[in-house]
Amino acid sequence: MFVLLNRINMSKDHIGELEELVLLLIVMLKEEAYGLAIQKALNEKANRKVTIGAVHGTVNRLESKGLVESSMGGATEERGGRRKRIFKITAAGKFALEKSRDVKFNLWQQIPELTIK
Amino acid sequence: MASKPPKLADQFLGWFLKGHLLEEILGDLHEFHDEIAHWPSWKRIPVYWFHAFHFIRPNLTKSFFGTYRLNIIGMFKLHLKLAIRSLLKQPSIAIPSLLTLIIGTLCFQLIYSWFDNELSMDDFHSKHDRVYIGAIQTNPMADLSALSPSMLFRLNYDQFPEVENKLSIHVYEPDEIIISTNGNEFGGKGLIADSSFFDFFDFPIQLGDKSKLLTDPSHLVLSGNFVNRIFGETNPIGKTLKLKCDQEGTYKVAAVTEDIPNNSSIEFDFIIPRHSQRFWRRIPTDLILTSSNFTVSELNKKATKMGREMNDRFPESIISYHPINSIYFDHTLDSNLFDKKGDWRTVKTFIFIALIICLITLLGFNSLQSARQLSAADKMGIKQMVGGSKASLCLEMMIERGLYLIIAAIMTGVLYQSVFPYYETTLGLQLNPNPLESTLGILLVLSVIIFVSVLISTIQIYRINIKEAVLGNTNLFRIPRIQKAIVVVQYTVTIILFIATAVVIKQFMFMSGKDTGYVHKDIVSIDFFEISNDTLQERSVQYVKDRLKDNPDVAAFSQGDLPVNGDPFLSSWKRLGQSYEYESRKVMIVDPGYKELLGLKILEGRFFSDSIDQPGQQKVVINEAAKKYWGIDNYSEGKLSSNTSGRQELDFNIIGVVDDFHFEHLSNKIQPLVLRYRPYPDDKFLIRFHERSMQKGIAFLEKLFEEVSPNQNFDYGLLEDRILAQYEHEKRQGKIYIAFTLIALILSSISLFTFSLYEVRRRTKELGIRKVNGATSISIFGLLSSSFLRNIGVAFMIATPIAWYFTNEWIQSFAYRVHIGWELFIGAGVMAALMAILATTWNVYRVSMQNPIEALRHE
Repeated sequence: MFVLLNRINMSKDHIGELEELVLLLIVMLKEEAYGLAIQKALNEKANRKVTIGAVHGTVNRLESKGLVESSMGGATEERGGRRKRIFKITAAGKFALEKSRDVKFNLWQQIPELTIK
Repeated sequence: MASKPPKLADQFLGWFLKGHLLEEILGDLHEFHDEIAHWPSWKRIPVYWFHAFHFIRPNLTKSFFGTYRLNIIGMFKLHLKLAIRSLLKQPSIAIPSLLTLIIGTLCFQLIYSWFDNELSMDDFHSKHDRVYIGAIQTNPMADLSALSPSMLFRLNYDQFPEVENKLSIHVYEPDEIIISTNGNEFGGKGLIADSSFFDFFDFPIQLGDKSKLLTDPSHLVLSGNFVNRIFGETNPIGKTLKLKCDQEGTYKVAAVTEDIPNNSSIEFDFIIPRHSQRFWRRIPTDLILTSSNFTVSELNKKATKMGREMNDRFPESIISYHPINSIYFDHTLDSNLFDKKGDWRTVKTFIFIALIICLITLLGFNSLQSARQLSAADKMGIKQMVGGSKASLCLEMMIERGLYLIIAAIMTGVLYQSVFPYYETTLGLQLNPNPLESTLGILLVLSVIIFVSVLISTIQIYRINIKEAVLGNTNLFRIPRIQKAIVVVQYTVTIILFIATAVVIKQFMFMSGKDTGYVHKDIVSIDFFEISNDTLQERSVQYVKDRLKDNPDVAAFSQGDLPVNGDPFLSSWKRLGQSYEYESRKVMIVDPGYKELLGLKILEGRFFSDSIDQPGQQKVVINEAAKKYWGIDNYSEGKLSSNTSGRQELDFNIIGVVDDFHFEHLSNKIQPLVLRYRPYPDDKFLIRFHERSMQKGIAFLEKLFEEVSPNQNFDYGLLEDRILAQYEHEKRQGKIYIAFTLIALILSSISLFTFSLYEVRRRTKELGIRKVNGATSISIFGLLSSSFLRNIGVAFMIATPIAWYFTNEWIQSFAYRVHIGWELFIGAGVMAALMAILATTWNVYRVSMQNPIEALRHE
């Protein structure tokens, strides 16, 4: 059971739905792509309410898969002097996004228009 | 207002989250807090905590025990994997360990289920600790008898403030009352009780009106078991039953109780309201329900005083009350209200054996696991060198033990359920199967064993020196010594059990084969007549006697008591002319044919004779023991006196002395015995047939029975069976001992097998060198075997004196006992040694036959 779950999560060429959204938002947010900002953007732009912890869990997982990389930003006033970790998409991340989009696009193409209406 | 985020939440995250993530996470949380700072605190703080809690997830939390890569969950997964792997890879440890756990726990639970049943006897009555049973003694020397003080001494319980409620019960023997419905007759055990019966005892009612039990004189209550017997599936409520004993009557079934629980010492098939008839033949038994604060000695004193005032016939009489709680194990008061009697000695023996089995299991499992630890010492050393902490080694070990616990618990549970019915029937016990309780018991025992083994292994792990472990010489000499000690202890216990079994069996064989002093072969006892006193019957008794006399197959016959426990009864006797008080002595009722029947030897005088003696005359024959007891030199000068029958004292002439014979269980010395010639016409007949004509004789009896008692059930018993039944207890004890000795032997042998396996493995190289230097296979075999046998030798030396002490104690309780000879001890020692050789031979043989090159290449 555990082993099975591991396989699914760890495979690099597949990303989950929340992972895909977070990746897209990281690309969108550019220099402001840190935990809380991603969480807020998820809420406003994708209408997904998740906890900050869930976002952190996801970006950490993406990082361990090599789809994003991160660097610490400068110290800020409003966070009690704590730095932010800014995420940036990697080439592998871009590839995974493109692949995910292509798969979906292909599938959409194969559906005759009428059946959806 | 500048509200601040709760500090504790931040601290909490500090404990659990990975250090390098803490800064950004706390940063995000505080930024989030700033956004909700204007919220009221009852809302803000929980929301903050809610978000903080959501950071506790596998890839954000700290790893466990310092290992860098894995967090708690991953660590657990890894250890589980390692544990399963090690179980599968080392069947030589895993299988014996599991077997030890399963066998040991199973035995313990089986024994426990028995003594739990014994110790909870009658506990289900909510008022059981307040119910007392009344008993009387006609004089201070007489035995206690559970006869009703309120009837015999006209005690009025209303005058005792401590008595809250009273209950009188007439107890009839099983099948003495016959119940009939639609022409079918059923015998059963009946109680004739007051309506307060159900205030005293909580036998749950399954059918019928619970509120007014036994109040209507035309109603009766049946037990669940009995209802199944006579009505099957049909609803019994409202059915009419005819009742026949010394009274007759018609009753309606008003209620049915649940089946009588196995831990009830009172059993009944039906209860009849006492006030439904004016008179019942049996003298009732008194039970009282006392208030919670009273002293029983005060009550006894008051009741005795009042009893002597009310009935001046017995100026020395004593009335006493006994808690029904203690009656099960304390047999000084014998009442036929209680069908089951416990034996405290057997319970103690059982507890002792259960503890021994537990001890052997604990030792065996630990020795196996230490062997495993030892063999894995180098692996543990390497683990530590690459950064594993001792704590993480312990965790690994604990998870492995947990796996043992789960597997063993499941297997034991399944086995227990399948073995239980067989166990019950073999030992002739009736137990309450309680699946939930037994599962909990199994889990508890297993947990204790596993817990102890975890403790010991933890100590071992913390003591291991990494360097030495990796070099391969960790404590190699210390752990086997502990194991050796464990094997010695196990074998000591096994040999003790061995000797005990041998002694019990020898004693049993001795008793069942001992000369009883009379002929007991081919004797049948048969009850021709029902109790009644009409003259017609006296004529048919004479008819039966004539027919028996004429039959050529009949060697002898008599109307009298059987020479087995229970038949001879107590009454008060003394030697005439002596000043001391009357004492209770055993009496047997016989007739002139009795001497011929049992082949008794007359030492002095004569036995009863048809031509000289009449039934009921004041003449007695005594046995040799009685003659010695009363110091009668010449039988014709001694006279006995009895005050049992009626109020006046009667004097008896002694007409003869009979040689001692065993009229009771052989654990008793032969007691003084008085034989009286006073049979009632309805007494049972004892008939001895000539050799090999038993078959014909019984066919004849059946026809004769049909003639004199038509429409009754023909039933007979063999004296030999009755004698054997007396030793049922010893036989059962023998069986129990054999079973548990075998189990102890198996458990010990499993440990010895594994011990030898590891010992041989450890010494493989040494033995290879010996071989290269010229030792033969045979000399190696001898060397190893003798080293194992030495342990058994030590065990034998320790076991012998202990076993001798205990068996000697046990056997003292028998009047006639076997000699515990040295050959028993040697036999037990040899058996244990044989088993030990059997357990080690395979390992020793393999290594002694090995090619020394292979041996030197080992490791």
